[in-house]
Amino acid sequence: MFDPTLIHYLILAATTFCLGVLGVMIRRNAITLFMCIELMLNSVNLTFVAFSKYRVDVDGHIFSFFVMAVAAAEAAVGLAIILNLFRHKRSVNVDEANSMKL
Amino acid sequence: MFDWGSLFFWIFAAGAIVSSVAVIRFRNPLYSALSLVLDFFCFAGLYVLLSAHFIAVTQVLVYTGAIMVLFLFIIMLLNLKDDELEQFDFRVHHLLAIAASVGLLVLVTSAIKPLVNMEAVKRGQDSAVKQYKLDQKKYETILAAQEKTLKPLDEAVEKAQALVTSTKEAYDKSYVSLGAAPGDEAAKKAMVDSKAAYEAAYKAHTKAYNSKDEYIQSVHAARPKKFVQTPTAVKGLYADLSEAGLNKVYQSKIDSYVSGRSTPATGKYPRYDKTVPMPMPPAMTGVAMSNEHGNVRASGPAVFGTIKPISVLIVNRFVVPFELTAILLLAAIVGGVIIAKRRL
Repeated sequence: MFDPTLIHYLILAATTFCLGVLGVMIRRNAITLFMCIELMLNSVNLTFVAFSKYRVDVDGHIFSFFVMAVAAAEAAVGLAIILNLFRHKRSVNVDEANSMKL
Repeated sequence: MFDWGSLFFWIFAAGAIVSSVAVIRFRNPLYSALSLVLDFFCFAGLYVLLSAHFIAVTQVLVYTGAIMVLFLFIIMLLNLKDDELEQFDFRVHHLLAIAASVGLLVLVTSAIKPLVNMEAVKRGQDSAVKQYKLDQKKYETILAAQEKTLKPLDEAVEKAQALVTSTKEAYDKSYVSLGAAPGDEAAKKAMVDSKAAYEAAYKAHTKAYNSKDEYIQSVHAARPKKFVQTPTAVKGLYADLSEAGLNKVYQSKIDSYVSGRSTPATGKYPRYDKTVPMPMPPAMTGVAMSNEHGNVRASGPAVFGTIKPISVLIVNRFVVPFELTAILLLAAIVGGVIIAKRRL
């Protein structure tokens, strides 16, 4: 009964994904927002890996590997943007970055 | 027997959820980042439980090691004062956000439920056990009847054996007497007759023996196959999760790829041209690799989730996505530098 099955892993991944979504919706700090996005990407990875095991196929591992690479790229660019935003506005609150104008 | 794997699942799952809540709850992004580190460690543990050892290591190295250090570095660089942090006063839209994410969770969960019909898995296993029990019962009745059925067959064989022996003797005798009086018509006829009788007896014996053998074979065939908890494929998913079973299935999949019966893409592709088996790199199959100095064996068969099959797949089937990811990372490096350098 307490043995984890695929459903347990999927529900866990869905829960952490929804927590990430919640964080993106309620937080205004750009860095925390980014962390919530990382959280969502990780949940997706967990889904990939769980399905990979249950289908006995390593393709899911390779997909999660690529997801990690994309997350790294996203973190590099995103943190540079946050840095620039902070320099410009003296704040990392995303509500203040509401204008396309410099 | 207590399964430590399932206990660890619950520990890591609880850790992941608690630290995820902590990530979105802490006001200070520094604490959020540290919670996220804990979260990533929990995820790495879950990957290990899912036999994804390589992904677990990459998780710790890349996410926890590299990306989170980058985050912490930026947080330290910005050095946000307490009044610059956002105020966490509760507003109506927070309630709406919670409702929306709970709704999303319900939606996703309702999509998960019919995906894997665990009832069907259990039903399949139950029916296999039931079938085994039925076979066992049938076999027992056959075994009980065995002695009774075997007795007349044995007797028939013995009788045929005795007949063969006696006719052989008669045949030999007539042969000897024919040799003593060559040219005697009566002796010759007796010899031919006894030979025919011997051959008929021999045939009858063979038949009796065959029918006995057939019966014994049928009893053996009725023996029920031992029920083993093999991976039960239900909607393409495997119910068995044990490490040994996993590697067995994985090896059989690879074998089927190597023999050309299916391809790695789906495992179910229509058969390739039978004369052209799908070439599989040696590292994938565990076949001996040789260099110019002699034979260097690849280290055993491919094991699910380890670095070997993954790296081999990346440099073979997924080489284009791999290149694209490399280009993306390069673009990210250049973009990060350009964005960070530019003065707005």
